[in-house]
Amino acid sequence: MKNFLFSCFLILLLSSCSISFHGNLHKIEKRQLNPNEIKFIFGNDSNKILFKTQIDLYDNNFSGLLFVKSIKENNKKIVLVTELGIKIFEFEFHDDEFEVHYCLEMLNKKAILKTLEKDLRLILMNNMVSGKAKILEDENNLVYKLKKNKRNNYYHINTKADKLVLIESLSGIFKKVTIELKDYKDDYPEKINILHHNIKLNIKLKLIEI
Amino acid sequence: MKINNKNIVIFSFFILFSFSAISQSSYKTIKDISAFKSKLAEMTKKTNTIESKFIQEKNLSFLSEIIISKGLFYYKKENKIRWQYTEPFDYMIIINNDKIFIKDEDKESKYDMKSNKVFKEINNIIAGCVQGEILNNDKDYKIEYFESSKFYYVKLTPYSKQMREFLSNIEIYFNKVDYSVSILKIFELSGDYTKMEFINKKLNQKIPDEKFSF
Repeated sequence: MKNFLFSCFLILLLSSCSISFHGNLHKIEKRQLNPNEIKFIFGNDSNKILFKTQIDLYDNNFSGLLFVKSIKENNKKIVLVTELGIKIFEFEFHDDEFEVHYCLEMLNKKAILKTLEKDLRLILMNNMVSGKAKILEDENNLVYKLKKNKRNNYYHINTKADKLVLIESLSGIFKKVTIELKDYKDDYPEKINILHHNIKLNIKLKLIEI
Repeated sequence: MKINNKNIVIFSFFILFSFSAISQSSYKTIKDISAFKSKLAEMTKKTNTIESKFIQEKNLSFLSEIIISKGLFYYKKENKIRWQYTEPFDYMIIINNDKIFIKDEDKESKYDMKSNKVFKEINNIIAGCVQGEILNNDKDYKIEYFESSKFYYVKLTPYSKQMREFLSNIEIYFNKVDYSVSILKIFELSGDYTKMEFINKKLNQKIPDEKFSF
């Protein structure tokens, strides 16, 4: 009975997560990164970017406009409004702090806010390059493995194009989030797809204005 | 006159005061509200279709930024609305009686208004503003009437707490010539607001039913 329960637990656990071993990656070195070694999508100058956004959370669909504004180094503000102008949330990232200035009651749940914070932090890369990074490579990419809040985050830079093309966030060997960055226009990806592996949450961002 | 700090303060005060007096005097309260309402009802009764361009400005005080979007607006009596954004993104909402259709790029969704409270409320506001019906709803809104040389301006403040989570008040500006809606402003509690300006309005031109089918 004990074994049966354990097997059930294991099946449940494995079925809701994907496992990643990154067998094809070869370690080059482990060292402190230079401040501008990984090109940030949202730089520290006062840039602003507007995305058309679709969020699929289980059977609910939300859509709207996501406005990201970089105020100063490691300080970013993000607002999501519907196309008709109804505000959904206002977040602020300041170093390692996360502040919710406004959130519609429907989404104002601890678990949802935590997930959105983690997802957005992965692409904002606030304070990401603080500790040492493992530098790996495969056939096409240079991969930076950065540890942050018990998660291992892999930033894949396509060596030919010199662009960030993939972010993977893992907890142990379990892949939690995959972010694809595609169709670059100058230094900005026109499409960012955030895909969760253990919950039914997908976020699609499409660049409309820089 | 010797200019010293005191004089500057008094002078600035005077300037500020006179400006605020001007801005207050540009809108005065409508004296004969029932005459305005009956004229509006008469004009909306005559209006069978509206075709217009719109410019939407979303003011985000948190970011000190404005998002501007543009599109086309169609209305056909009794309850058909097509709200189509064309710049800087494609997005369309069609309301046909109690059915709602949303086209978000390649994604299409249909809803029944009866089953969705939020849509029902949004439709009540939009259709209510266009048809002027909202001014009869003094049960849900505190309604105030003003006018300037160009507009009749009506300010609605919802009574319900639930509504005030989305909007603190609505301002509707009616054109003084044809009584059509020229500007719609929706204010949120944070001070952010959405301004929709309707331009190139064409009233009572033929609009095919296909514009509202899905």
